Amino acid sequence: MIKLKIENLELYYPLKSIDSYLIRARLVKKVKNFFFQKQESSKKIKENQKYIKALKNINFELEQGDRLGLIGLNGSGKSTLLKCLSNIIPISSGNINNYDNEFLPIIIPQSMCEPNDTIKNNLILLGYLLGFKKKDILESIDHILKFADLEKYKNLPFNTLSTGMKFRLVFSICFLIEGKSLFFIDEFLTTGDEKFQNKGFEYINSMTSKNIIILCSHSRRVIQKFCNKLLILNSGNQVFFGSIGEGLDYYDKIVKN
Amino acid sequence: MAISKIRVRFIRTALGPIWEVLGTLIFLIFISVVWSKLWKIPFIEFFLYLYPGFIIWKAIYSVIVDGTYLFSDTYSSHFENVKVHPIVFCLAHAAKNFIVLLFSFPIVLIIVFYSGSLHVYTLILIPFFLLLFFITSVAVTFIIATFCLKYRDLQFSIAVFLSLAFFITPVIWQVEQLGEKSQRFLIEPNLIYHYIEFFRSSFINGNVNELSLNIVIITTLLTCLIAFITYKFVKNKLAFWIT
Repeated sequence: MIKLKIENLELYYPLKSIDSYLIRARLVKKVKNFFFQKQESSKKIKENQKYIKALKNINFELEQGDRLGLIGLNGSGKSTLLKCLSNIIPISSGNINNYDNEFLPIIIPQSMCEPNDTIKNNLILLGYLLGFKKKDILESIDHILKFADLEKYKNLPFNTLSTGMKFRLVFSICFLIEGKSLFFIDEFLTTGDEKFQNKGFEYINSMTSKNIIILCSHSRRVIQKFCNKLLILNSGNQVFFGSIGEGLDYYDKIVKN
Repeated sequence: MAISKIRVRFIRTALGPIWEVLGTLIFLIFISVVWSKLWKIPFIEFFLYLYPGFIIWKAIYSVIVDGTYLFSDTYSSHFENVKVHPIVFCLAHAAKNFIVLLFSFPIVLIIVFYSGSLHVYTLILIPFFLLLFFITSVAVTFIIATFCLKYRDLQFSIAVFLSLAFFITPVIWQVEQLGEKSQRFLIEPNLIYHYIEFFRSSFINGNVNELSLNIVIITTLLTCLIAFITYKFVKNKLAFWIT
């Protein structure tokens, strides 16, 4: 039984100025401090570092077959939460109990592709990067290219594809190779043409009884059509977790305020 | 990832990776014609000295300079999309440079064979050197990529420093052309020289001086240790420095 349980998840995100990324600025500051006797202890410097609480009080539990919609205003922490769940960003406190480790973050996978390499080679490379097994990738190549309707393009460079075609390819890589049961999807399904979107949704719907999907989106249509639970984030806070209908009414109030 | 990067690098060239070898070969033949006359050294002797030294310098330069933007640019999107251990990117980077270095090997072996200076020990020393060089490349890549991610202006300083290092490292000129005193100050502390000397001397003479051998082994171990300590300190910070 696949299960995902999040308990009291918090994330402190360090806020750094451009100067803190320049060794020149650091040296100048040190020299100034030395000559003007303004030496700060390393403890004080640490205290002065600014953090924002990017995520707080995140608690939810999902079971096999659940499709959670993640909604919130810009900057509310939706993508950050997905990155935390995928271990891309280390959390500050709390627990992520993932009872099946085979998860797949789908954030902007196409950005990892080599624009000048062929579509087929990119398919294999992306498959590796997303953590699929070599055997499963090689077995799925033809099926992926057929599903994405890109068979005749397989030996062309990746950058010859349009945005929509790239989406079709990446979608097919993410969902057609076997081996993953937890999908964390960031705004991904809302790109691409409607024809493929419907085909994609149909495919995902046919496989969701075996998986857990978390979908981050601004689109009510997508969330209503696809999800059975909703989590609302507001300034990093979890303000709602429950059914879609009730959740969208709550979200309306946030938007109006 | 390494093979993909190499494929992309040569995708638009008619000769593929052979172009890399031929380009360097032609360039070094021209340099050897002129400089062997300037220093009154037989062409083949100078070319035999220059070629192995230059290809290993090129590999070192590429490992370091391309490493400066490995995390901040080359693989930054990977860090934002998937959880992959950063050492994987360093391995890919080192492997890419290693494979490009290997492309030049047939030429070196042909030159050494025809000049009659191929030694049995060369065949033992070179694989040993390549192993040490690959390990150092991975460790150095990690250290440099991490520091250049933290301090973005460091990459320009490193590129300038390496351009300077080319002139004070005996790649084109020979160590014996310096006085004994200058050798002690300019050559012995120069770590890049010891890697070049190990590689070059293994090919030409089938042996390596004890100092260079020891320094390369110690440097390999030290860079691994520094990379490991750096990783321990930064493993939870890298994601925040990139995003």
